[in-house]
Amino acid sequence: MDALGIARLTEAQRVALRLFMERKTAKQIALELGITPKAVELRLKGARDVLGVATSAEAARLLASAEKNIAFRETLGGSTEVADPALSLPPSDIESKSGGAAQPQDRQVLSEAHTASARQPLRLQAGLGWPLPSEGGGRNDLGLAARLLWPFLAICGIGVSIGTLVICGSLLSLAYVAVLHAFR
Amino acid sequence: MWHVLIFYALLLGGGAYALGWGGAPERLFALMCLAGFAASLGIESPFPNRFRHVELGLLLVDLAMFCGLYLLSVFSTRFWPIWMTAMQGLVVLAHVMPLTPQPSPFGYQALEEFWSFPQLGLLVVATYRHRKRLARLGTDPAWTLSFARAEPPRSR
Repeated sequence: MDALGIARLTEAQRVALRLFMERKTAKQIALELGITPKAVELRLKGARDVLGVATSAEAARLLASAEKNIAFRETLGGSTEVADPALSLPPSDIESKSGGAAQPQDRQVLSEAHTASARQPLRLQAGLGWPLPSEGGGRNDLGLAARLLWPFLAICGIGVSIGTLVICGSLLSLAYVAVLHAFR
Repeated sequence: MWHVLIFYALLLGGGAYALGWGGAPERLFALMCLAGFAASLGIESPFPNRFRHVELGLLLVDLAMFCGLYLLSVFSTRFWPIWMTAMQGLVVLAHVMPLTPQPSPFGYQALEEFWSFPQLGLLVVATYRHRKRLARLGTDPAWTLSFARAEPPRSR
């Protein structure tokens, strides 16, 4: 298994795999996460590609085993040697589980995983993904196509939003003037 | 007049914060802002005609900044350059305003200046978040595409 693969999984892929491990279907996962089943399939496929496995079940098992490894380490008080530095949870998970700042060895593990994942070559992926950081302050892991497209989509989005606001504002002020005129 | 003071405070304060404490992308953008500001000094048309036609000098500066930000959004590990590029794109688009049937010099100038405020504010937030990641992880890689090969997975 590519040990660093687990560290390279995005938080979205981890969440999808955890729910898959609970024997939920893509539709059920999509409903729970408020996304489309297609997006769930893309996340699972992305996770399979990163881990180099053929099935989502296998990918989910690998993640579960990695997370069990971390949980076991934390049960022992976080003083044991790191069995495999790459088998780590994202910063937010470790911090919340240990109830505070990450332990020094976790910090090293995280920093290695962070650096390793930043070295991934840019890739083209089918789903665009959102250009927003995750709760844990995750790095930008969008594919090349998304990076090339998002600035232009954002220009359209901001332009349309401002245009809509201006039009709504104008209509409201017109309506206000009309009402004032009617009751004068 | 207040908006000018706020702009200078954001440009100098935010720029210094990003240059001193930011990662490579934050520092690069701070430099771009300072260079863009310096380059745009004195290239506007004389007063009666200011913003009454396309300001070619400003357009070139804005386009150069757009290209720089676009490269940042492709190669950096941050999300903020994507939004910054979008704002800069809107600044570039503002240059078509004098070509519209009812050009408004005031509107043109306002659109040119407005986006620098959220851009500089976002730069401060981005630098702060970079410091937080550094404190938590000990490292915060700046670029996604490394010309060095990724380390092979460790064997156990």
